[in-house]
Amino acid sequence: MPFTQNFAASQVISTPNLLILDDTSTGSDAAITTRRVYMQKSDGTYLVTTGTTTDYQVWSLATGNTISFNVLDRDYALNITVEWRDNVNVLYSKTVTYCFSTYAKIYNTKLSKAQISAPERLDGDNWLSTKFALNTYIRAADDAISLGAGISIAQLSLNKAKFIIDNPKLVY
Amino acid sequence: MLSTVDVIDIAKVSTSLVIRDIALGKETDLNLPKKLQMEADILQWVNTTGYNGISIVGFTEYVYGMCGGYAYEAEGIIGTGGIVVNPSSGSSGISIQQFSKFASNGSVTITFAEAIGKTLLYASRGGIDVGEIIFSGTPVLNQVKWDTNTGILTVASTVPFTTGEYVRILVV
Repeated sequence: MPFTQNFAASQVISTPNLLILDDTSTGSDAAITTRRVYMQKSDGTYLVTTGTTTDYQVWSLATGNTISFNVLDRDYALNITVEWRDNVNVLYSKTVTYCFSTYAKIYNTKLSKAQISAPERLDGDNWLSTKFALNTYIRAADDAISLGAGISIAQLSLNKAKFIIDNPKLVY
Repeated sequence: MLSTVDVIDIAKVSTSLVIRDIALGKETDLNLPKKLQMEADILQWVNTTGYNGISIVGFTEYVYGMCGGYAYEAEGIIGTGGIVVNPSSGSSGISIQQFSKFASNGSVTITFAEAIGKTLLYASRGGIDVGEIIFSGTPVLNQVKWDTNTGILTVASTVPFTTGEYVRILVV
C-alpha cells in the first residue's frame, strides 16, 4: 500500500503547554528513516524545545506515532510542517496551519467563574467590554485559521488576547 | 432536568429573544444579548473540552439564570421538553408551578415557602419582567437572586419592594 503522509496537531486542557502530534499517515515506505517537525510562528521563527539548536524537532520513528513538545508557553497560530525523510532527502512533507488558543479560553472561563461568585461584575463597564473583546479575539483567531486567513492575522488576535490576560487590571 | 447542552441552546435562543425585546422597547439591559452569547459560547467550550477549572453544574445554572424569563420562551421554541407540558397527554411528569404574593414596603426579600427546592424560571414585579436571575452573590439593578433552599427571592437593595407590590414567579 503506497504511503500517504498525514498528521494532526492538538493541545489538551490539562497541559496546554504541550503541542501534541499524531502521525496519521497510511501505507508504508521502507525508505523513510526519520521525521522532522517545523513549528513556524507568524514572525517566521520556529518554536523548539529548550536546548534545541535547529529550527526543527526530530521525531524519530522509534518514538512511535504520537509525540508531544513542550513549546506552547502562550497561544500561537502556527504553520506546522512534518517531513518524512531518508537520511538525506525529504521524501514526503505536509504543512497544516493551527490555532492554539487554549490559554485565552481558560482565562475567559476563569472570568466566568469569577462572575458566578460576584454576578455584579458582568455589569461593570470594564469587565463587560474587556470580556467581550477577549471573546472576539478568540473567535477571530480560531476563524482566521479555519477559514484560511493565515497565521499572521490569527496571531494578531491572539496577541491582543494575551494582552488582556497579562493585564488583569483591565477587568478587575 | 435540563442538560448543559439544553441550557446552551436555551441561552442562544434567548439571545435572539432579548434582541427582539430590545427592538420592542421591552428590555432595558442593552448588553444582555452580548452577555448571553458570550457565556453560552464559554459554557459550550467547557462542556466540549471537559475543562474542570469551573463547576459545570454551577456554570450551567448561572447561564440558565442569566436567561431569566426568556428561558421559558426559548424552551418552548426549541422544545427541550423539560418543562413543556402536553395537556392532552398529561404525562410529562414535570410541570411548571406559578406562585404570587404581595410584597412589603422596603423589603428586599420575599419568601415563597411553597417553592422551596424548586428552580426559578421566571419572576416579575408589578407585572414587569425582572432581569437576570442569579443564584449567588448580591443582586444589582434589576437582577434577582433565587435561593432554592429557602424559597427566598431577593432584589437589589437599591430597588426594594413597595407596599402591595405584586410578585409572581414560575418554578419547576
